[in-house]
Amino acid sequence: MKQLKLVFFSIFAFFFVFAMLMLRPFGSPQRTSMDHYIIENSQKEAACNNVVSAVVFDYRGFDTLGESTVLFAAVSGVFLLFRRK
Amino acid sequence: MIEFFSTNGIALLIAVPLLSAFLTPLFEKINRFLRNLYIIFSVIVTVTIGFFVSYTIFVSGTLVYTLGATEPGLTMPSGLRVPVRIVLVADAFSAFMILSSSIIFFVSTIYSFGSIRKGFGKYFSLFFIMAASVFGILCTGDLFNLFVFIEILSISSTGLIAFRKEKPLSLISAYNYLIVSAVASLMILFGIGILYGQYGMLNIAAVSRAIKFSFVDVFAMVLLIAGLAMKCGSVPMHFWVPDAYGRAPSAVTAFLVVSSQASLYALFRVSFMLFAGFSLIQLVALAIITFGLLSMFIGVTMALVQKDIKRLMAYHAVSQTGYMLLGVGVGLFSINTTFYSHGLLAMEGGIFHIINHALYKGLLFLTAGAIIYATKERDLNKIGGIARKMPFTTIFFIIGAAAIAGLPPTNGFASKFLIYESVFVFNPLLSIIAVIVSMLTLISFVKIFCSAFLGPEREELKNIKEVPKPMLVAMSLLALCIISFGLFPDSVLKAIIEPAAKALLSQGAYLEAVF
Amino acid sequence: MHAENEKNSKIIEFAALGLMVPIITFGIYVIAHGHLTPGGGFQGGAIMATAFALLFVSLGKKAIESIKGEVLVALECIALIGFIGIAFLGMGNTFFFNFLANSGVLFGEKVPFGPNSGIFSSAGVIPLMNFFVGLEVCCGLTLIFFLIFKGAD
Repeated sequence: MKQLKLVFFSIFAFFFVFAMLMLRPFGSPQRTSMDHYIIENSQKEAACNNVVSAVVFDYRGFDTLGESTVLFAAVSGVFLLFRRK
Repeated sequence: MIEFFSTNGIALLIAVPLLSAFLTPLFEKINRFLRNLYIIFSVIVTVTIGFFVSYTIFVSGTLVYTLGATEPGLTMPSGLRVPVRIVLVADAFSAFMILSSSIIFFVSTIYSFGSIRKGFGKYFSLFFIMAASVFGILCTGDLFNLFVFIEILSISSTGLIAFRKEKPLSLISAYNYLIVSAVASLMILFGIGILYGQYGMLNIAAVSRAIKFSFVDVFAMVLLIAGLAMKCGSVPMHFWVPDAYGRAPSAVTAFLVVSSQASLYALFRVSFMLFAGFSLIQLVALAIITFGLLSMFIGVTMALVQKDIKRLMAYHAVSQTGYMLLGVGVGLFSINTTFYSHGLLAMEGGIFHIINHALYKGLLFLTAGAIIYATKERDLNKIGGIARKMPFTTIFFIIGAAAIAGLPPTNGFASKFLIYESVFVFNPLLSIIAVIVSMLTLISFVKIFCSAFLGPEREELKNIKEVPKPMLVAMSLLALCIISFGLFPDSVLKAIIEPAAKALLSQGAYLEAVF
Repeated sequence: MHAENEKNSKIIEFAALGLMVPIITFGIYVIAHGHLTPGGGFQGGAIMATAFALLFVSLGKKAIESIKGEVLVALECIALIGFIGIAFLGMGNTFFFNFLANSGVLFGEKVPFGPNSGIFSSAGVIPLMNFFVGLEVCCGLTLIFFLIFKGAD
């Protein structure tokens, strides 16, 4: 059984390394239309100097709501576990 | 007013349960009765919005909503050819699953009013977050948004599975579920990251228009499909299902079935939309069919030897997920070949099975919860002859067992018959295996019925009573839905299932709606 | 943590209480300037939570008994209701619409293109969202520290 696990894992590792070698080099993305649009227009539309904050709270604000909900759900779960009998 | 709800409906469907989840602990500080009233009010509002959105989509086509733009329909900013903001897209398949999730959400809430006694406020807070995340997975059109909602679902479900913390087995099951969900989320995130690095866009429609199926893209597809199959509970990653479904409170288990089906929805959305033009799509379809067959067979054979009621039903849930994977897998296989009409029938069968499974598996878990509530026993060897004292529960159990085995006046018969018929044309052997699994399912439910309900009464169980009214009302609603879907399967098929199957198969219509 | 019969050291108490003030001030600075400098809601909230962690570790039982968990839960819920309420307020157009940017009312000054020394009252809805998220993260992390230090009853 251990041999079978090792065989499957090495097949997966071989494909993994092969796929990673075929990625584009770091720092030269292929299509940048969405990123380019955000950098050009963030000061005009969102009126914000910090483009990262504009992306986190304006262009993709829904994901930030989701992450805050994850924190709330985790704290709620811990509170449920530690309540009195 | 109606105009407002029909354009903004999808965003409200996700936002209203989230708002209720944050308001419920505040209401609990003020007054208990006010909290109960507020919970009932917001559940009714959410379910009404769900039904209304479903109806609007079936009548007038796909709904598209851009979050944060000046108008809801403005997906692309001026002068650009790709969407920049998050876009919510709901077509007929999403509408079908919103319908099914809303029914189960409503029924589970009614049941919880009877069966949960302490820690009520926090329980409903997490339950609303779970519902918002399920609706979010069903409505989204953006890859990273999908990942965020899968994360929210995992964490809130873990908190609810560990609700009865007095028994240590609940804590171990919740921990198990958390680890499996974390590994699955990691694999999904990695696949999404590779696709973003290759194409620079996160919208599902935009990526599916630009994808080129190089080796890296195929690797990302494998990671995505494996991660989503882990979250559905199909073999070979099914080992969290019996523990998690068996040890959660019963209302939560009924909703966990819906959440696994939301992951199944995400799997189908990714394979039919993103990878539809792939030349080797038939290999992917064969892999899905293999998962389906293995789940059906392993689920039902492991269920035959169980003694704990809810664990046994959880193994049956694994086996029924196999039917859905088999049906839709055959549909994926025949997407461009001569089998097209039978492929459409197989997909209709698989999709019809999704809502049927949610209904009858929910009813069965609720009856199991009623038995455990009344007798305080989980072991089948120690229960006997309770049919005289609990007549209503017995009737609901019979209806549920007939539905899961595929007997005529219930909805299980309609969907299983569609699957047998269409898979037979594809390969007769698969159809025979499906029929054998159905017979084994019938055998195991007859075993439960005879040992738990019939037979002489036991000494310890002399004083049990029927369960409280909210639980009975919830179970009767589900039984009504099962019988009515079973008596009129044709009208259900034409009105709901056929648009859903056609919407899933046509990638062109989806792209039209977004661009 | 200290043993029961050991007195708390006065130096540690005094230093911890004294250090809390700069840490919380720095956290509020990071949250408030989220739309100009790197930082923002999540980062500033985590900084403020470390101040409370310092309080729990150095003061021990006195701190645990003087904070109530219910207040923290209520504050966290109010912060999240504020965040999602701001998103609802843009419902005239769509759900998360930035209705205060470029409008001149509260945070709505226009920003010239290119590098500039930042204008504080720009960026519309974003500073308000930063504030609510910072409050939520601080209360959430403090609540986790509080529950784990208090232990199960």
